[in-house]
Amino acid sequence: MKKITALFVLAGFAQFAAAADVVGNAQNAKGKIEMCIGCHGIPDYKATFPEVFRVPMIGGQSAKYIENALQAYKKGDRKHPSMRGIAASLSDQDIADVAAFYSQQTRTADPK
Amino acid sequence: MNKLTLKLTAALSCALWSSAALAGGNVAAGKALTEKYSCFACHGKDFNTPIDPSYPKLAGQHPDYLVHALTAYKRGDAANGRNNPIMVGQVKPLSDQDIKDLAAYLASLPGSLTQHR
Repeated sequence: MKKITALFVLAGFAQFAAAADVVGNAQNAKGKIEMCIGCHGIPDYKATFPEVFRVPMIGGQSAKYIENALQAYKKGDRKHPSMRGIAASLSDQDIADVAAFYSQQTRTADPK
Repeated sequence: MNKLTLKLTAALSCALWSSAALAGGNVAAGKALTEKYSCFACHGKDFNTPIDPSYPKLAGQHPDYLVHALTAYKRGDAANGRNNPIMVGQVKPLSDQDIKDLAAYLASLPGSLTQHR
């Protein structure tokens, strides 16, 4: 049991280290947000399947939250089908870049 | 009070009423629920300054999205659900009407979220 615990602890560190290596870059996101803007770039755009609702405003949300949300879709902790498909296609670096981009978006401007 | 003012007031109250009715939620009831369930303890007193960057800003968010998200936590691990353990616990006591009321209140707050190209 002790060995297993140690393994888990090590695995935890490994995950932490991997996460720490990835730094989001809003500039690099510009080629990666095409998939996002089709919905999240259109004011009041509505998702239609499996439920009808306006997709969330993500501009101005914190990078950490956006990153967590995308990782949750990728992992399957969040199960919305379209977002699962999109998040699964993104690398950890893509996710960090997209998160950086939208966290820096304001009402009037895109990140410089 | 001239005719124009009257007309404008009527139009404005219709607009206000219809936006509230569309969401199907009661702002005052929603406010009371955020206090009852201490939503602000994580999402911030103004719901625009969460206590940790891993938590979302909620102020001004689309109410229909908030209903979707809260309902997804109710579904948990089922289809179209979300299994975040904190939020799954938080939404447990909420009725469908509670969720609509919470969404209406949070959407009514001034926030910094945006949606454009």
